[in-house]
Amino acid sequence: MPLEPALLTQDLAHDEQQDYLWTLNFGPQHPATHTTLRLVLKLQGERVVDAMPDIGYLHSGFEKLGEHLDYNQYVTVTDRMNYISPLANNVAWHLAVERLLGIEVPPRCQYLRVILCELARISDHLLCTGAMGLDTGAFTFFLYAFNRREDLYDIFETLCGARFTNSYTRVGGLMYDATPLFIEKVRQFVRTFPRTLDDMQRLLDRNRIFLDRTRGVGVLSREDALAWSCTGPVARASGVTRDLRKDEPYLCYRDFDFRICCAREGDCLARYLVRMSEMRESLKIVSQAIENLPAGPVNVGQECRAVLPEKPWVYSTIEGCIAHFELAMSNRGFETPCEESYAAIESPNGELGFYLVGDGSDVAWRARCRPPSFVHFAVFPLLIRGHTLSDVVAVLGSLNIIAAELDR
Amino acid sequence: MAIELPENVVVSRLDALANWCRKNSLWPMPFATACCGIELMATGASRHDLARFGAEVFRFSPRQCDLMIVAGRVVMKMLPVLQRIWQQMLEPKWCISMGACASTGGVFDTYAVVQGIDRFIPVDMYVPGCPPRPEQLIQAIIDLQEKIQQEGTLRGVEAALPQHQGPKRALIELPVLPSMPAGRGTPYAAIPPASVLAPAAVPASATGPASTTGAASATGPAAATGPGSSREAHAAALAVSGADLAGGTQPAAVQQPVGGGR
Amino acid sequence: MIRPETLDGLLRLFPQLEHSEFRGQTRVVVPRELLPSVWQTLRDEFGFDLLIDVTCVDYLHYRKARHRFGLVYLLAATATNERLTLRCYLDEPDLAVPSAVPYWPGANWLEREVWDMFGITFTGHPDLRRILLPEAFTAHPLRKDYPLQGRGERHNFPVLTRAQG
Repeated sequence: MPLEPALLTQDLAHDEQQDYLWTLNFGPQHPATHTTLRLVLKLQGERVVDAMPDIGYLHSGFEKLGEHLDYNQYVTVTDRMNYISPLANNVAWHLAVERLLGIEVPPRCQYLRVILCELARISDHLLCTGAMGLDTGAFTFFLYAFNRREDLYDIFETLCGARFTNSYTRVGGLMYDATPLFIEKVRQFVRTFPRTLDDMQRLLDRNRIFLDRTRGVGVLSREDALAWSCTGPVARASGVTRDLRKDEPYLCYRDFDFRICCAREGDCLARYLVRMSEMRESLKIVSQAIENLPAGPVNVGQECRAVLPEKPWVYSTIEGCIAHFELAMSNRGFETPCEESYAAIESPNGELGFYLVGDGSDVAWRARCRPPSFVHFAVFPLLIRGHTLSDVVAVLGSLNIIAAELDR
Repeated sequence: MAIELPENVVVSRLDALANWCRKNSLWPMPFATACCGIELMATGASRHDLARFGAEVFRFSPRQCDLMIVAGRVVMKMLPVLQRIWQQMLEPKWCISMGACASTGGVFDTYAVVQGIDRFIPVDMYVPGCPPRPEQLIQAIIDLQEKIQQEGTLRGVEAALPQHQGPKRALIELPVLPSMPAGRGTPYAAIPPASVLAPAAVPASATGPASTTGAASATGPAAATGPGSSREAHAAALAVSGADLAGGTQPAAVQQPVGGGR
Repeated sequence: MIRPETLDGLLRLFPQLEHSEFRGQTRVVVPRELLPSVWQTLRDEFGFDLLIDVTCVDYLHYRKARHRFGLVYLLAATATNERLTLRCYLDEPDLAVPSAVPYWPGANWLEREVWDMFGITFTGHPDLRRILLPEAFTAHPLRKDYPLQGRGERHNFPVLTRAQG
């Protein structure tokens, strides 16, 4: 296909009364978009009159792929959906599958999944705030954030061998149990991370440049946040007190003591502050969960046909081998109800849900992902109107748009 | 550098000098689209510190760069952008295809994802992994430096050699297989025949050398990993080109010999 | 997930709606003509102020399916933590439904995506263009009769060589 001219709607393209306005193309390959977004901005001088997002530069057919891979295989694809918090995606996907199948995972698995979700939240918020700092001129802040992300990668690598494409969950459980080394590393992270957070906040919270560039910029009112379907930190920074961890407690979030971080202002600074304080709350959850980690199996027992059997059993007995083949061979697999269900988690970015349609086989008929980035990016023109060109990057950074989740 | 030099040892030394300068001051242009971009950022960040190898000056303007690192999958809508940015970069320039998605399409064998950027732009180095670890990317950059030192010339005549002209892989789509076994709830209404899937609009200049030189010679000795050779052999067996996709009309498929051996 | 009084109230106002339940999720099948009035009622009287998602399912060759497409609207009420799924079935050739943008502006991009992927038109949508795929694309890829690997669109590009670069 040839290069296409800028896709403009009629009001942006031919409006003769507004021919004093500049049209500026922003992206899809631009440092501040971090990934592949494109904006067509209409400028009056330096002031943004209108913005026209053009997305799809990373559309790779995730949902079509979900109709061809079975419920265990597709978890590898969810890793690549929001690649800065892949474990949360893994958990969301298998939570949806388990709701369709009606499986309740054992407590140890629930606790481990909560730990992983919260570590994923920290890793997401580190990157988001770090990149926001980078875009607004705070490079050191970014290095602090990235350094701690490396520690998180170490933890994930200890757990499952991959730095961030983890694929750690399975239907009815996990790939395998966590090792003592993992627990030790998480404990050490919980001990040392508050100090980094303090350092980071000291760098930015009272930084004049940062405050001037974020305070009052990109204000999203509570009504708009609801009308435009915003969830997660973006909505909470606008005063929507909705958090699925409290409102519809999934996994074992009922067991923990934590707070929901909200703000009223709805500007970029509020979103930054909400994320920074959410990291502290996540750390609280992680430390409670790791100290109260229940014993027991991580997988649902073999009475549930959908669960992959334990590897030692597969390797040492014929029954285990048969049980494995019954699931893994291409003409076998488990059965699902011919039904439709939706399950969502409070992912770092907002409500991440999967709408699954089962057709009896172990391949989904439809695997719809409800992507928070997609919904949040639709609000962008609303936020940027009337601000200056340099505010584009601050607003983009505060929305935390992940292109792979945006375009899927 | 427009001095008329005789064919003697001095020329080779100047080449070596130029290569030495070039290889130690690579300015990467991060064409980061997806997950690999995060590892690219990690490579540049404090722990892995790409600055140790003289390639840390990330510049987002293609005019200032000489090394394009394509990190992440490139999809249908992005490929024209990629090609334009590649054309905007100044010679001499190199390209690293980072990760499985950029090299072969990776797990995304879907309608939207280009199955390997080397079908459409020249690639010097492939980095395997999904995503590759930062160490792997650093190794690829070191390997590329070695390749620059060995192959480069002052005036860039090596880029004009015929084996550098063709696309590296046979530009053939594999037949669309009904990838899932029948009876699992995914019926295909129509599986197009393999001959329909060959691309249209391949310029004659591009297909000509490709048919003679083939895939193996252009990959170069320093390539970290190529895409699967068995796949290429498979593709060579099915070589067709020239079908018109958009209109649905299908001119006579031209058999095109492609060197498949690696 | 939904309080009984909400469901009863809705069914009292619209007695022709069928509803079902699966794993605690209540689904209501709404005929196309009733969609706007149901939305209006749900939003204004029952507090469903958050449109979570709009999506579509293609039931071609689905077991015991009676319709080709099923639109899915996931709604949530932030004050009472209720959730409700609305479904609306469509058949070819008439694939047009009223747009939800007047009720929830957030439906804008979600409906554009459904148009892009399934070819369902939303009457009254302010800007119904393709969103993820290029404008020149002709097919609707999430339909079941479109192959996973596509019809070759992904390789319909010119090739750049060293000399051309």
